[in-house]
Amino acid sequence: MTFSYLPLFFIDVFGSVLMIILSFACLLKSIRLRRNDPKNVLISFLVWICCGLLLFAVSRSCGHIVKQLLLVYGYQDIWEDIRPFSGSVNTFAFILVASITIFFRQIWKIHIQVLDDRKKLVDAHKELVFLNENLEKLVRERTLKLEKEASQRAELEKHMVQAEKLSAIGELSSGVAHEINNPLGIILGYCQLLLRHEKDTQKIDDLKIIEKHVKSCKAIVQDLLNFSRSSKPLKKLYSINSIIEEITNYVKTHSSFEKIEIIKYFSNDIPEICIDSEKIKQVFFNLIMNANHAMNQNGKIIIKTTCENENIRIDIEDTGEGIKEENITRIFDPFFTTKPTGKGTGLGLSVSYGIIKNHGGDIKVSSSLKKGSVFSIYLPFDNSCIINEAQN
Amino acid sequence: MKKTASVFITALIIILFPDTSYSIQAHGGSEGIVVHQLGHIFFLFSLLALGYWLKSKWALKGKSKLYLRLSCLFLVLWNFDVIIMHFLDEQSGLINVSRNAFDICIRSAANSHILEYLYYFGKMDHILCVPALFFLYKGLKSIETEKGD
Repeated sequence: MTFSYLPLFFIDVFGSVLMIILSFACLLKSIRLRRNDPKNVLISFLVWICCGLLLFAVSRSCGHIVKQLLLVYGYQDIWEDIRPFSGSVNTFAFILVASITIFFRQIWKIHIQVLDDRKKLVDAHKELVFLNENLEKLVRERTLKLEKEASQRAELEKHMVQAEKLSAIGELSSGVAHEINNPLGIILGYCQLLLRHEKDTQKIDDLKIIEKHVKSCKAIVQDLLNFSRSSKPLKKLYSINSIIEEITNYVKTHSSFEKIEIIKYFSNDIPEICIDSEKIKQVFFNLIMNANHAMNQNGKIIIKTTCENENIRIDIEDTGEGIKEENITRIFDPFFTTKPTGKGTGLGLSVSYGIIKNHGGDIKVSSSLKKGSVFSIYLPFDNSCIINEAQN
Repeated sequence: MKKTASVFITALIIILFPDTSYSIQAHGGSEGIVVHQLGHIFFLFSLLALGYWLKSKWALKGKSKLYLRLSCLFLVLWNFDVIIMHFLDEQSGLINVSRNAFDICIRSAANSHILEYLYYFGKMDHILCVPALFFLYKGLKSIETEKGD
């Protein structure tokens, strides 16, 4: 079959010229890429490929152009002489390109390794620079942290000493109170029996004085027993806000609260927690009564409830005389009181401290002389009673 | 001393009385075309492998991957084409070509016009290898843009 030779001729010649131009363009582009990123092994790989392709394109295209020209001008014998050399260079060139190509996977692995190492180096450098620039700051932070830890440890030791002291006094008080309670009961009983039959007003007055003081002694003994019997709290789910509300409503009826303003700031997001409501009421009652005494029955009591971390915080603030610095560390000690003799047993705050500790909470105090004191109670979000109830 | 003398005498005999050596194999005949065809097959498979690795490993997001893979595809097709052409031209004896000034006469031994057309169009292999280099250039250009981004 006969075909026109011209399409073959033009495609061969122009194709060859284009091959040379494009392979040069590729090589130049790849060299430019390498210039921008000289350490990139993948770009170097592309440069090698382009070099191989340029060699291949030039040898092949030159061969083709020369061949077409020689055939057109009738020099087939010359072409036959050149042909083996042209073909050999051509074969060599594309085998070279193929050999480079086949190494792509290894080149890629090296590339990834280099990138990985470079990233590690950059990270290490950044870290070093950061450490260098922030050394003083880091040392300061660490020192502060250590100081904080040391102060926390000291605080913990203080609490432990307090707990041991309370425990020892508790045991002692328990024994003494128990021994005194029975004779006091007998004295009170006989006193009341005598009062019932006595007609002489002078004797009645004397007996009433005895009865009053015996009752006072019994109250002290009862406080001692309450203090020593740190029984396990009977916890149920209660709202702290409603307990405070109940206590404040109760104390307001007391005559000594006539000139005292009680201000309450209740947070609405306070959850119900498991507490022994009677004991917690006793704590609030003790603190409010103490505030009352500190203000000489005239001033403001501010009660605040908030959520803080995993705790409910209850602040009871008064505008009273405040606590002297030397007394701050002793106020939770049993029998420590600044009230006049006969006005207080010095057990209220100790008992309160014990109750709060038995609830897994904490009680703290801050005070300024002539300005007032703040007692902060922390009670944990405890829902153990619900779980226990569900298990039972 | 005796050893040195014997080595020297042997070397002298080899130099003075040379003869035909059969230790090196000759590479004449059709070996050239076989090497050339094997080279094309090697090139073809290396490009197939490169195309596959580019698909799974090339990290740059953009058109560079597509262009480089297209370049591989066209080079694979070109290799395929030239392997067939070399086979028809120089190995099979199926095609007989004669040419005058502006015409080319292609005759198939099996008298198959399909084979004659296939040979005629197969000879225009630049239709495959020029786009391959064009896509390689486009791929390199895209890498430059993507790296710039």
